[in-house]
Amino acid sequence: MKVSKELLKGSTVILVLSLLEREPMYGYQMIKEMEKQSNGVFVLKEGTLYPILHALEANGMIVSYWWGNEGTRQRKYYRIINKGKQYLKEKRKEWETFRSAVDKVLTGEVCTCS
Amino acid sequence: MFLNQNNKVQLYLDDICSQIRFREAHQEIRLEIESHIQIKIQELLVKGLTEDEAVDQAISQMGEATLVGKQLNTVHQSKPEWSIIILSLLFISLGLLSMVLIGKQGLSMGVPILSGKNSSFTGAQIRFRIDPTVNTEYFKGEGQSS
Repeated sequence: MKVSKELLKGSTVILVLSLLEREPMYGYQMIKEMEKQSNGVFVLKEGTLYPILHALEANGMIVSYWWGNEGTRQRKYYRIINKGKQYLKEKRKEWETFRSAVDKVLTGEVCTCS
Repeated sequence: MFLNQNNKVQLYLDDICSQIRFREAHQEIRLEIESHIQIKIQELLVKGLTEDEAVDQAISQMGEATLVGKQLNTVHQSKPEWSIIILSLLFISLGLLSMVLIGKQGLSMGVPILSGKNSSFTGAQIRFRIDPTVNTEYFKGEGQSS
């Protein structure tokens, strides 16, 4: 199953930050992880990840650094920092509110009014 | 990696960077996206694709270069160097101020070229000095050649 692009757009940022909360990652790794953890539902157009990462870095939510073992290719890793963690916390709360509201409407839980 | 296939990747990176006005960011963006494409190509080769197929697919999965470039461009705007702008403004106003001051006093100090009737006189002199020499040289040359 593929989710529409518009839906992913709003939640991409929170998904990216959640991944980075677990460990620092490079772009390619994040795309793989996202695909794996969402059972193939989230397939990012790979090029669009970088503008998001760069914007998050410009906003002081994450930092980047080049790192690689001798002999292997250097990769650009991203690490979440305090401001990003705070932001993620807020966004998670928002998401919870939104999700439970949608759930309630979909399951008709609050329809005791009629 | 064959030259031809590497060229495709380089052209793709060129297309991305052509959208990004802030040139200082180009090098790092190229390195980052190129490294992504290279890992992808390796992965596709392992899956059994030919080199040509792997390169094409890796590039197409990155997405359209102009779109990626445009999105990156909105992030990488060059920040105005306020210190330099303020310093320049300071120097400009200093220059204007000194022009006004010299303009007021300069005439009374009697700089001949700037003051009144003399200016047209010197102008005429300069024209008189230059024009005849040029003309005579020209005609001399003509005379010798014929």
